[in-house]
Amino acid sequence: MAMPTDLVTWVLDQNMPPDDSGVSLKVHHISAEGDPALLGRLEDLGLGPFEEILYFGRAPLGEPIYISVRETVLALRLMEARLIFVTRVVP
Amino acid sequence: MSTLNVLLIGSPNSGKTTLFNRLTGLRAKTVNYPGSTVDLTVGRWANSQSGDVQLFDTPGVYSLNPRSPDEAITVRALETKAPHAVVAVVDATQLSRQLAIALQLREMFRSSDERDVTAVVVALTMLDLVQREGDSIDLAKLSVELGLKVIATDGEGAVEKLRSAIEQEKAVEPRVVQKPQKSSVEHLREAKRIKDLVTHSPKNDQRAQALRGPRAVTRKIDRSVLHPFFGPLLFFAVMTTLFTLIYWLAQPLMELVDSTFSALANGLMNQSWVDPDSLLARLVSDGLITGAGAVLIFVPQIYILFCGLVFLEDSGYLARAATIVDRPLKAIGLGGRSFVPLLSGFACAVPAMMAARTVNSRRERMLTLFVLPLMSCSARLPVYALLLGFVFGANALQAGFGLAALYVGSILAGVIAASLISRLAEKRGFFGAEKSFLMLELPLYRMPNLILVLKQALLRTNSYVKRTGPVILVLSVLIWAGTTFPNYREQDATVRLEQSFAGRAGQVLSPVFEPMGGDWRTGLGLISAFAAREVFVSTMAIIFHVTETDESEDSLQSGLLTQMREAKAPSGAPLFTLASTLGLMLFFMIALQCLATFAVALRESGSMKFAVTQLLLFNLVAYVLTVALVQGLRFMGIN
Ligand SMILES: Nc1nc2c(ncn2[C@@H]2O[C@H](COP(=O)(O)OP(=O)(O)OP(=O)(O)O)[C@@H](O)[C@H]2O)c(=O)[nH]1
Ligand SMILES: [Mg+2]
Repeated sequence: MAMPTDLVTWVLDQNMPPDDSGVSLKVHHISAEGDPALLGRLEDLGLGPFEEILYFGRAPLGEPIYISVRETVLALRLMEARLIFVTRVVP
Repeated sequence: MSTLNVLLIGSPNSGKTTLFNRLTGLRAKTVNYPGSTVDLTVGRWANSQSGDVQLFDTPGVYSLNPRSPDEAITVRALETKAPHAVVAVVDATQLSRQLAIALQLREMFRSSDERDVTAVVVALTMLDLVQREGDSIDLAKLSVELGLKVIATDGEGAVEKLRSAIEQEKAVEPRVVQKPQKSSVEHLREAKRIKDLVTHSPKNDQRAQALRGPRAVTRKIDRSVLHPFFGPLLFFAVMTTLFTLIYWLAQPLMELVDSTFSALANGLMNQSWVDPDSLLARLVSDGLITGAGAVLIFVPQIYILFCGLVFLEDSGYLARAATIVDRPLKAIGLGGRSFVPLLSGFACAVPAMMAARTVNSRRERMLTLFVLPLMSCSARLPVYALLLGFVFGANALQAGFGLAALYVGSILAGVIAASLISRLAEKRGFFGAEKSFLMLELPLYRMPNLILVLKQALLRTNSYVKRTGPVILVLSVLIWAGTTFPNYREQDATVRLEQSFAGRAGQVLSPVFEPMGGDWRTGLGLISAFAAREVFVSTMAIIFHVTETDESEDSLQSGLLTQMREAKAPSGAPLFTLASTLGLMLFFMIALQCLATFAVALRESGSMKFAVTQLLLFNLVAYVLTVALVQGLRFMGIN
């Protein structure tokens, strides 16, 4: 299936500048390929289609990345973040 | 009148334990780190109307479908503790996520014959933070939307209000948990709808307040704490400060404990009604008092370490630190969630192993438990101090570097062990195939409450003493007996020891210790160190006949060092040489000489095979490496 061009995965966001207020993104879909416990936890946290999230940047050593979803700030490993497909929200 | 069972359920770090402590008057562990409660805690209060209430505090859950062992404990408690009511503890700063758990509980506790009581009460915490953010929440509306009673936990009389709400909403019979009809996605959607309905955010003119609110402040701090360059720098600075504090602050206190106990033993012996040669007097002074001293001497260090840990946890920093070290730890099969347990391992492996319950994957948890004993716990310090004193004499600077090298060595040993075992585990699949995930929540920063820090650290120290104290006490009495009998009438302590059960055992085992550069006396010291590592020093003192006439620890140690320098092996050569002393240090660095650790490893891993393998493997590897080091050094002409 061809990916729409405005879809980016987290990995593509590595050059995003650190920003206090975060970069607004919207979840497009969650890949079904992951570990079930992991997918379940993503779901528990409210990470699903149409959910708006903020991206704050990466940890000093490049991993994990920090995002906030529904008032919660989370650290996710790249492997975990790669399951989340997002689109940019144009302000 | 019967007992009512009530459960506190909610997300990690939502304030359940804080509320539990207020309701029951107990003082269970509360810190600003998701996953501080890892087991059920039970407390109760007397209730005039319907008997006692038995309240359970539970580990935090992100939903009622468990994804880690601590979450499974909570879900199991819902099913097995026959609750008459549950309190859904909801952090008001995270309504859009945490209300979903309240909604889920409402469905699970629905009942067809008792429609008027819901058996679920919502306790809303952290309203003070919402207010500082400049927001407000309409509690009445929230209650209507949820169809549940909502009680704010701040302010006057909150505890009383919560108690009477439980009283009104409780079911007559324990409710049987039903399967929720709606999916968790639906609950989350509903939670968001309700949140938007009941929260009033500031308009433009109040924006300024939001910028100074807890969220904005947290982000500002995180910009430095998680900075690519300053972040790691701060991490090293914090860890170095923590460990330096432990050693420098604890030193005078440890000397105080030591001198108190020797004064106690001497004082007893000098009483007119005590016959110093009687067996009973010797049991009390050499067995019991020495044993109690062996437990308590580490209390200052452990207390200071716990103060530091609680401070860092409660500030919110430790969760960040865990994310910073996740990547390097992942490379060796561990992860950011193993960080707090590993760090606690530098005080004592016993509480550290319990903290490993928050590690969500079995493989990562077992691996954490496995390498934990390699972290250089505080009981190794007196042994290192003695051996470094032997090698470097009075040169404190060199000894300091030596100690640092031992710490770095212990971390390296842990790294090597973790990488080897994780590869092996992956190949053979013995710790399960479960993948681990990090997904750690970063709480808001807050200024730790210093009194709370001191109290929490005291509680944890206390539970450490209670847990390990009896074991060490019993073992030190056993060692006393082993080194005293059967020739307990013999006046000369050295001869008595040589002919004792333990001494004879040491002689039989002597061929084992000779390749390490020791003889039966070192062997005896090593065996006695299984009670607690630091017992090695006192056993050496008995073996080499150092009389405890001087009060200060220093002169005891220098007396012992002189004796050790003069001690001769059966061949006539010096017993303690550079090679054999370095060998001993290596041995203490790796060997698992601690029965308390063994007992906890057994319980936490739930596997006898695991605990026995760990015990045997660590000691065997320590032995082989020590023999290799000593023989290698000798081969190179270093004796
Ligand atoms: N500002 C504020 N802080 C609170 C409140 N209630 C609890 N805290 C703090 O929040 C942190 C977490 O509280 P705990 O009671 O340990 O939370 P818990 O739900 O038991 O957490 P886990 O055991 O990890 O699931 C601690 O630092 C508490 O001091 C509150 O109403 N307001
Ligand atoms: Mg708790």
